[in-house]
Amino acid sequence: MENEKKMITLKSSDDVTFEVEEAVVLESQFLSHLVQDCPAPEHKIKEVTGKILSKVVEYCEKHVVVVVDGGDSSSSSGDDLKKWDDKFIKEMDLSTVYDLIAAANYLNIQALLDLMCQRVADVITACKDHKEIRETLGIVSDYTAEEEAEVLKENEWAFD
Amino acid sequence: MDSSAQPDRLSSLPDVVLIMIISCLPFKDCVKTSTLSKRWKSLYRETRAVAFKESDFVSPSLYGDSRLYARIAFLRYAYKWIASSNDQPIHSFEISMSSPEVYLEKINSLVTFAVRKKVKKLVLDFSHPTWRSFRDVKDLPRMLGFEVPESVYGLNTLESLKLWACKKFEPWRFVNQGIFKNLSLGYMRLPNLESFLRAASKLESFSINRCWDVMKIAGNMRELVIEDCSLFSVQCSFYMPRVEIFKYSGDAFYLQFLNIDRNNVKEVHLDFGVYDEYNQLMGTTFPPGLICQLLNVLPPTRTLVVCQYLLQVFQSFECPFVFPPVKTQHLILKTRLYPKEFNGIRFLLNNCPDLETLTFDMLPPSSIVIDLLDPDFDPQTYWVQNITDNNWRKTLKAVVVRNFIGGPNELNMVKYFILSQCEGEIVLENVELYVSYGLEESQKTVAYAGVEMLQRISKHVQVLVHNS
Repeated sequence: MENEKKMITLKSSDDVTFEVEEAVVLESQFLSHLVQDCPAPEHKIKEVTGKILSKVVEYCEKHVVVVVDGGDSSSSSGDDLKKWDDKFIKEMDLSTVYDLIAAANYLNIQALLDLMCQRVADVITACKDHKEIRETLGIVSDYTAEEEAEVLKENEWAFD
Repeated sequence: MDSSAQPDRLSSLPDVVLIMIISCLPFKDCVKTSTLSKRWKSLYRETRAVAFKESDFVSPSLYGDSRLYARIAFLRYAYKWIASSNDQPIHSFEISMSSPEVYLEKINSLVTFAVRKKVKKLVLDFSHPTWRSFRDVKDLPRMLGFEVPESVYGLNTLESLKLWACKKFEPWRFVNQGIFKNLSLGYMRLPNLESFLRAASKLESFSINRCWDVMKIAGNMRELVIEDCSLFSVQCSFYMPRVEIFKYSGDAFYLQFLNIDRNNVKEVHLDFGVYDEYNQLMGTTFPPGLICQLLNVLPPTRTLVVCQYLLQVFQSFECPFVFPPVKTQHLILKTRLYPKEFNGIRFLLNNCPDLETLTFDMLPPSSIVIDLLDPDFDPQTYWVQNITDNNWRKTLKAVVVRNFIGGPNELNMVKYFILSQCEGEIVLENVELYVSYGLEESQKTVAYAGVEMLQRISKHVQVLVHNS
């Protein structure tokens, strides 16, 4: 059985190639459709760079193994998986997080997208006010002072 | 650092992704994002997770007319929100409000909105912030004013439900019991859960908080939380073959009636602190033999959380049984490090031969004045005197202190672990200190002086400090 695993090659926008098992590819809805529609051995993903695709592959490989190995200790591997996820996102800078969000959105990998969105949400929650959120996430306000005061007043309760 | 130089890459993501992000936020933080920019303002009302909490609007210090107006403003905000809501789906909906009686009609229309949205997660919490125990409501039926509407029982999408302080709760009436994953019940009489739990075959986590007349609990949940409940003792029975996480707080008496499959259990929390405060007020004492029995049947669990009360009990009695070693790798002690807890701490440490991580979760000072001056040893030197011959020295890798304030007993304790490492066989890798949140400047100075002292004496152990 081991030897019969079907391998697929993914090529990033900057021509970095990754050879992965078919099961890994199936984590992405987009890729699983692609593989079914077009049974070529190699697929170019023009929208994702090698750096980000390596992260995507790392995530999918980890998540696929656990499902297959599941067996008797499925719940403990669930805990381990959560720990792995935490570590996966912990050291990641925001720029990589955004790239991964865009990639997960494009490749339609819901679990990865959820994980990354939660990571951004955690950053927002950790800020003490909206000014700090803007600063941390590099958001440029297009409000005039009056407009901003008006929005603040509308939802006054959330800003004490 | 990486922040200010960053162009606004977040806003270049599509709306659908930004909505996913704001839906992960607590509702209050989601509303805050409305002030970031016009783009964000156009999106924040699209959140999939809506939570109206009275406590966000009504400060506990308000009373009389100011409180009344604040409550009205709260309901008006909620009402306005749902009235202007468009067709977007909502996955999670919460309403938390005390004394709902006067506003039942308004609240019902909010609940109807949630039902129409076919939410997966629903929180209906009508408990009062001043309530502390089931005793606050048990014999006062008028305190529970909100009756679960028919439409909620008919909601066939519900996976997660928190229902606190509702009257006449009849769980067997849910049309789709089989899809429940999480259920939390609070401040209610729960005599008849049996048929619901049998039907709720996918229930992962079940939590009962400050409930009374709890009869039989039998089901396949992985996590069971029982917080300060009054169980219907003699007739009460438990059957939870799959339970892995078991958190119990309340009266130790009821634990006699618990049966859990020992081999599956991974995490046990035992907290009799609720009982502790209560019994100190009532002047009653606790039979230590019971605690002994309890510890003897303790399942071999990876993580064990133990309360201050248990630590104190060890101080004062000889266990009549041979205490079996606890297979715990992570021991969490909820403690104030009072000298009268020292023997208990040592006793547990010596009985955990597999211990890898030890956490001191420092409790805030007690509101009840208790006798501190009774040990027949010197708390200053207690730890350093008996430094050798410990099981844990071969396995313990990390010592963690949460809510660290640098008090003398904390420092002596941590010092003991650092100094107990002998040259050539150092196992302890890290000491992690989480400095308590909200300290005043002078207190911070004390805490950080403590950190520095520990860093100075530790040659081989890394002392890490975190600001919590």
